[in-house]
Parts: sequence; C-alpha cells; structure tokens
Amino acid sequence: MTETPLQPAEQLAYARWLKRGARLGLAVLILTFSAYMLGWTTPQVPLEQLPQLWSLPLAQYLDRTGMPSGWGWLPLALRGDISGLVGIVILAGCALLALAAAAIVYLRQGDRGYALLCGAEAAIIVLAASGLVAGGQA
Amino acid sequence: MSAAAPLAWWVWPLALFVACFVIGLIAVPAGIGGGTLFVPVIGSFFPFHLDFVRGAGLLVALASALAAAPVLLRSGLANLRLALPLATLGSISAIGGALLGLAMSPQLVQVLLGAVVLGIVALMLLAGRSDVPAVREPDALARALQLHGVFVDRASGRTVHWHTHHTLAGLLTFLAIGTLAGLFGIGAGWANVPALNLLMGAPLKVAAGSSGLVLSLVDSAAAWVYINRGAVLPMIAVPSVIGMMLGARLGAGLLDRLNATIVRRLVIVVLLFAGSRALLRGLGVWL
Repeated sequence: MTETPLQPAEQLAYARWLKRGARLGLAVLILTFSAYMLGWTTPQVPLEQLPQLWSLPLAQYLDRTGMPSGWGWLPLALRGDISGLVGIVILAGCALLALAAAAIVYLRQGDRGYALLCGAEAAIIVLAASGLVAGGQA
Repeated sequence: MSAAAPLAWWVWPLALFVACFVIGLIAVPAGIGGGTLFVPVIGSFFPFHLDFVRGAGLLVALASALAAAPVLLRSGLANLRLALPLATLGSISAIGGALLGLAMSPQLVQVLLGAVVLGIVALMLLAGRSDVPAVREPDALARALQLHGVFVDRASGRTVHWHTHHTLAGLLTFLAIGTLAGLFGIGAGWANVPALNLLMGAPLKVAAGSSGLVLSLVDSAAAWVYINRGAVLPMIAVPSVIGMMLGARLGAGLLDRLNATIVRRLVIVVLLFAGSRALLRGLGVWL
C-alpha cells in the first residue's frame, strides 16, 4: 500500500514515528534474545530451571527467582533473560513518540482538542509505565 | 505440569515459536487477530501459568498491531481521528482490566476466558458485516470530533468518503472492550471491528485498519501493567512475538491461495475446543 496525498499530515507524522519505534523495538528484541539464547549473556535465572518456574503463579515465581517487579529490572538489564525486557519496553512505549509528533501537527493546525487527546493518551501510557497504577515495587 | 518436567528447557519455547507461527499463518486468512487465538490456545495446551500467557498475549497483539499500523495509516485504512478517542477510553479501562485480571484467582480467569472465547465463536458465526454501511448523517459528537475520512478501495478502484454515527454508544462500547483486552491479554479485533463497522458505521476496511490502531494504544497501556508486575517472561514473549509475526507475514502472502472459508471453520473449531477447555479447566472438570 502506498502513501496517498489524501491522508492528513498528523496521520502521516504518527505513522512515520510509529514505524521507527516499532522497528527499533523489534530489532533490540531479536538482538538481546539471540545473545541470551547463544549464551553470550548470563541469565538471572538459569535456563534449566525455567520449566519448574514458568508454571508457577506470578507471586510464587517472583518469590522463588528474586526477580524484581516495577522498574527494578533496569540495573539488571545486562542479564540475558532480563535484557529481553529492553525491546519489550521500547515496543510498549513507542506510541509516545508518535503521539507527540501528531500532537505537534494538531497544534500547528490550531486543533487544540485533538492535541489534548494525544496528550491524554500519552499521559495514560506514562502513568501505566510509571508503575503507580500497577503496584510494582522497584 | 508433571509431564513437562523430563523435557529439555528449550523444547517448550521452540514448540511455542512453531505454534505461534501456525497461529499467525492462519489468523490472517481467517480474518481474526493472532492475539485472539494466542491466549486460549497457549493457555490451554502449554505448561506456562496463565499470568505469563496473558502478558505475552498482550505483547503479541501489540507487536502485530504496531507492524501493521503505519502501512494502514498511510493508505487511509486506519484513521487516527477515529482511533484516538476510542483508544483513550479503551486504554483507561484496559489498565483497570489488567489490574483486575492479575488480582483474580486463576480459576476464575479461566472460567471467564472460556466464556469470552465461546462468545467470540458465537460472534464469528452470527455477526454480519457491511462493506460500506449507510450512514445518512453523522451525529453531533461525530461532527465535533470530525470523524470522517477518505480512502481508495484498491479492489474496486473507487474513492470512498465516509463518516460515522452512534459515537457515544461506540465510546462506551470501547470502554467495555478495553476491559476485556486488559483482563485476558487477548487481542480485541474480534470486538473492535463489529463495533466500528456495525455500530459506528465505518466502512469494513477502515474498521479493520482502525481496530489495529486502537489495539496498538490500548495494548500499550495494558502491557505496562504486566511488565511492571513482572508478568512478562521474555522466554515466553519473544518466541511468541517473532513466531507470530513471521507466520502473519507468510499468511498475508498466502491470502489468495488458501480457502478462507475452510481456514475460518478450522479456527472456529480450535477456538471452540480451547474455549471449552479453559472453561472446564477453570471449573476443575478437565485439568
């Protein structure tokens, strides 16, 4: 499908930034997971133990593995299994850039309502990411 | 799962990759999002706890939606103006749904998941569809939000101008759909498309495209809840995402060659089986 001049500028700006973010997220996801699988990075939880752990309820899994919740994984991001979260976080957050790009175009057009809507959606994602509503413990 | 214990650790991620590849392959010709099949199938037949399956399910649906959205936006088959208000409400309720799902007992989630999956089967069998619904006049809210657009239908070569109606009912429907998406980690295209097409009057192609855009935002919000709770295991999520995306890419290429009716029937049978299994598992009848 080709880009048609029929589409509004904010939609094209949103598409451009979403594509960049999604591509980056997928590339990081594949790279970090490949390094983990090839044994180039040391995992927090040994691979052989995973079959005894992944069938446990979440609370028990966290208790047994000592895996952090919230943003507590960030200092451990070089560990093989945890590094996969970097790509996942980029994928889960890449809409923010696209929303910002669309909001700027809306503001230039004087459409404050939709710029505000972009801001509201971005605020919801940031709130969810902050862990404040998820009860995550860093 | 005592049967899983003797197997080497890599067997299950490999099986997961293959299963997701097949799901992605048949999801496109069946006209259903891969995320809709992921949670019931993987939750029923793999040894992973449902908490991790739902976290991975959201990421599968998110990654698929993110891959498709830019193309659909550029062609006009997804509409940002239409998607933004629906996604904003859907995101709020998806966070609530995700929190609710992680607080519920696994048995209750299984029972509800089974009921929802069987509901999806009923919807697939009974719901109609309208290529370009007749919308005489947009309502006041649709006018205020400027919910209209234009796209070139490549099948007919026509330029289609469209607008929507029943906007308030549509917004409220997306509140409910967002809750389900967050609660079960299940892609919600099966509900988004009929809501946009049959309720709000968007052309079917715009409904399908904008549904993906709504999903990319709603699932972003809900995915963070699972990430922050530690319910996203890369060992489960990454093979799923990669397998599904490769399968979906190949499935889109096979769209012309596969018999869509047969594939759709196959998907209905799989969903019936997986939905019944989830329901009975939750009720303690079939463990």
